[in-house]
Amino acid sequence: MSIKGVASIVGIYEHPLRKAPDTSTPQLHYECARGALADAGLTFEDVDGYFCAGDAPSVMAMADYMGLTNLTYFNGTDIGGASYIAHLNEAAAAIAMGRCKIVLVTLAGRPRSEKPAPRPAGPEAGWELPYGGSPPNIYALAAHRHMYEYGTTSEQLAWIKVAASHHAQYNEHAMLRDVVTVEEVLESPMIADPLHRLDCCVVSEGGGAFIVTTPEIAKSLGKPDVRLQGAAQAIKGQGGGKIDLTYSGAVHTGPKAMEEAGVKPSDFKYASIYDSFTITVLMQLEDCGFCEKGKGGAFVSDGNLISGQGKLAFNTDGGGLCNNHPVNRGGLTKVLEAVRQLRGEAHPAVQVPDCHLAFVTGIGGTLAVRRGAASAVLERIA
Amino acid sequence: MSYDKIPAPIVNPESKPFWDAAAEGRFLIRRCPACGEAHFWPRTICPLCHKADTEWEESPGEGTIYTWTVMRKSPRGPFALAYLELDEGPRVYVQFRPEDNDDLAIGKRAKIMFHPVKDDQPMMFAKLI
Repeated sequence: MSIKGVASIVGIYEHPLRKAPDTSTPQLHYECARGALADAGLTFEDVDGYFCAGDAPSVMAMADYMGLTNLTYFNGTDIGGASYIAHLNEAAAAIAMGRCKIVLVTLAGRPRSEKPAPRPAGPEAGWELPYGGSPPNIYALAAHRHMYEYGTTSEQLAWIKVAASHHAQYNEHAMLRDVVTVEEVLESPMIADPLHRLDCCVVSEGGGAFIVTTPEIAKSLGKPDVRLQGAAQAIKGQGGGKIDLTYSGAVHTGPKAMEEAGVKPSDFKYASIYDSFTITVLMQLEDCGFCEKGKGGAFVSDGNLISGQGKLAFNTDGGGLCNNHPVNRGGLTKVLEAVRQLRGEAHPAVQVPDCHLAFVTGIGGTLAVRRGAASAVLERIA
Repeated sequence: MSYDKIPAPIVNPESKPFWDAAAEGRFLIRRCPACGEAHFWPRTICPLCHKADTEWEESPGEGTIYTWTVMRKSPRGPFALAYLELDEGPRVYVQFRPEDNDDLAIGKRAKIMFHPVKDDQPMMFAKLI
């Protein structure tokens, strides 16, 4: 049994705000839901499946707040920023089993305006929490080891930011619209060796939403049929101390999603790659097979990720590195830009010509400690 | 970085023997009698083979740096995180004492140590040797 071809994305919405001091977090979720349903030509009454993750108060609270009274299926899987890519997989499985027909997925939050609610401490907390590790320094641990084992350089990592900035210049909502050079990335302040400030994503507010349904309903709505052809999810932990920081959980999910879809990395001209940091992108490109392990540095160099210049256009909205990384969770916006590319609705300056196949991958949690991974293959069905 | 700004470790029934030993300056790991593997951080049931309850073992806490970073932007002041690969095998996520911030490198020898933090509780750190 497979989820290949059983579900389509028919509605997308990205909140235009990057700072939302006067809007509540549930309100942002609601506004995103309304936007995605309007894009699909559906109503709140049509929604019978609702998925959200740790940025939402809870599935129950959000369903009640938004007045979702027809739910027959719901899900609160939280693997950090990659949750919404896993939700694609889970929504398709639920649709295939007949548990629901129209699934709403939302993400929203305000990390610049309000302090996030404390997370419950896991069993690792005693040994890890007091040190004050945070995404930049924990991802830096992975970057340093990658450099040591494969000779990856800061210049190579910088090319990832350069590519994102080339795309962001065309996005009127992007937080950082200035095109940057490799030198500017290297000259930005060191945050956590070897990661500079411009190796890091933006901190933004707002959110997004998408709607997943059956191909039959997609057809009846007259929307472009963006079909889910493959999906996978995995968890990678510290393994009792047998941890290898040179790869991510995407090593399991990327190839599996592609296998289900019956495609290979070289078939893609566009990919949405989770980009909390430059190293995050480089490792996933390797893990998903876009290049050999350890050759990610060479792969991303010289503009290879810039639309119209390189072999693989990535994050043509500017990604988390320049555009938007709502609530420190970039997975949902990765799905949105892939759908825009497949619909031909990306900015003309970054639209990949005849884009019919898109790859989406994300890792969530903390790279060097424990994290989830999720990948998906989307195809535009003519 | 000052030690008294670091919160005390969170202790639960499973980890209490570790922190009791830490108060005496001893570093404990657990080893599985079934698969023979040591692991860290300590779990009662072996996370590697799942076949048996593991046993406490005192370790010299020595090893080599697997990776490191110095966080430059922090209200605590710069501080170093690393994975120390113990000679027994497990890679331990740990903060280095501040004196070592400028001298860290992958492959260097280092050792687990304990230092009091907030509320005078002992917390685990590492130092170059």
